[in-house]
Amino acid sequence: MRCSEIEDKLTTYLENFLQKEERAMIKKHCAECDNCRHSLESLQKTKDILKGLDEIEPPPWLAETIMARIYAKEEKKSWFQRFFLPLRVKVPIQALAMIFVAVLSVYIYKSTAPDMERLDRPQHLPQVSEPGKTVEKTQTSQEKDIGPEPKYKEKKASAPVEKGPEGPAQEIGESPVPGRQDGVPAIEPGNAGMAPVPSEEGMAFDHTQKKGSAIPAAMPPSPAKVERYKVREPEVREEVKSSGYPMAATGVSQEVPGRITAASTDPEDAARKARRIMMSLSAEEIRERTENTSVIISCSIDPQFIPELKNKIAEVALVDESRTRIVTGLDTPQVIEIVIVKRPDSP
Amino acid sequence: MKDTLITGNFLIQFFMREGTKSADRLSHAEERRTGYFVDEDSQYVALCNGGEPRAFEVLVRRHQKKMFNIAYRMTGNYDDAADIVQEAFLSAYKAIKTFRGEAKFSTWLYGIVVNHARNRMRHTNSKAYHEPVSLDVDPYAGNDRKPIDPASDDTPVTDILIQKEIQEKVQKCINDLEKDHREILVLRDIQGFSYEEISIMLGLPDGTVKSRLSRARGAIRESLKKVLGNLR
Repeated sequence: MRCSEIEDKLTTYLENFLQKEERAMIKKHCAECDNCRHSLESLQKTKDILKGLDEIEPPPWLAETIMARIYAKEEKKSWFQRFFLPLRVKVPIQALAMIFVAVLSVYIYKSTAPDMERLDRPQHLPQVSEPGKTVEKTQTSQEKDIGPEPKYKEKKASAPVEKGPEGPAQEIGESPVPGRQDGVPAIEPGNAGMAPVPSEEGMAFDHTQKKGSAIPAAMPPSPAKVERYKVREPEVREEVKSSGYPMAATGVSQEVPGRITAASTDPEDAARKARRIMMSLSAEEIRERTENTSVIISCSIDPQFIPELKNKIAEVALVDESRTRIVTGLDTPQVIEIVIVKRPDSP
Repeated sequence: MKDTLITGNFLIQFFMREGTKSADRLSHAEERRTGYFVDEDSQYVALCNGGEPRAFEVLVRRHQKKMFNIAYRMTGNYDDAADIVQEAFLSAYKAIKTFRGEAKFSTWLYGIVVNHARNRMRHTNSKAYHEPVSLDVDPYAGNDRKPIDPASDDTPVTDILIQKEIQEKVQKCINDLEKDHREILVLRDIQGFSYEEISIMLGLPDGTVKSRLSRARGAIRESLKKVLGNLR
């Protein structure tokens, strides 16, 4: 074996990792070869020197410092953990929270939605009913001045007579309007209203009389009534075009005997003014609704004020005579509709 | 044996949770039981995993000296060694949950300190390369602070001084070695770890450890010969 090979194996020899034969061979070689023996000795010496190096004492504060840093970290971590829980805890909590929020939002939405619907109507009701009450008061005071109450009741009782389907004698289109204006003061005593009552009214008279007495003038209309107005609206328009007297033709339309159709560039503004006019004329049950671009205001008004109402409306908006129908010769409060349609271009 | 282990664990847990006993007292209590375990650190590791930082103090006190010596011999700087040991222990505490007990805890711990020392050496080497060396500063000033265990009370002062001088020279020779050679000599010849332990710490196969050790010994021998003369 050559010296270089021996040199390579000296470390392994010193570590006692060699087989017996190899060990013996190296031992024998080193006994004969000075170089290899010196090399082995120096390696052994190197190993001994390294092994003999003293152990160094670590600084006395080392352990304390380490532990202080660990405790500080631990404290920070525990504080931190309160806010950032481990994922296995955090994820289910977040999922539950999400479900809770979703359920809650649906619940809140469902519970508040009907309220919102309900809120829509009262917006009109208080506006209308409050002035209505005051109007009623003023009306009654006026009536006291003008005439006795029983007369008013009489009017009420006889009111449905003209509403009968077969009562065309009372309905007058354009021509009677000025005549009625003239007759406004004459209507007041009620005789004028009573006189034209046709005797052939029979059944319709009885039926409507009962109805008329059952519904007091100040009573707010039931939702069904409002709904009926809505449903009836389109068919009324069609009839206006064809005959000009739709209310008389249909048996159902007894409660809306009069209608004033007017056109305005700003229907809402005109409607506001119309309402004011109605109130000034002691109208009751003022209801306003919007259909597409037109505004429809219905009210219950003493027939003696109807011509005046029409005149005043004419000041605010352009009255369409062909689509306006007013019943005269009555002395009970009448339901009248004012339809204000939007006029595309200004006059 | 198993029963004893369970009882031992229970008692240790009880003491640790009590919170009034100092870590030193716990250490003594534990030391009486060490003979029962192959890895005497395992129960403390388990306690640490259970969120008990006080158990880690026992491990720190038990291993800090060896950790410090590994770091010191690898870097040749006392302050750096203290820093490295601190960082290594903090890393170990943070990563203690990843310790699966495949090797001894101490082997895992020493592997961490070797890694930290290696990183520090890389850092200081590049720093030393870029920074100019001051001629006013005594390069051995830091070494005066290291308290070396006296060999014996009977040793003459001159011998102690000679020994100290030799040791400093040897350390300088180690410092001049390549990084790979340095760490293997520290672990094998200075600390006396087995090949198996070294291969675990360094993550190297046995054969590589042996060949690297052989080359490292040859290198340090030549270096020592220059400093100390003929090694006979």
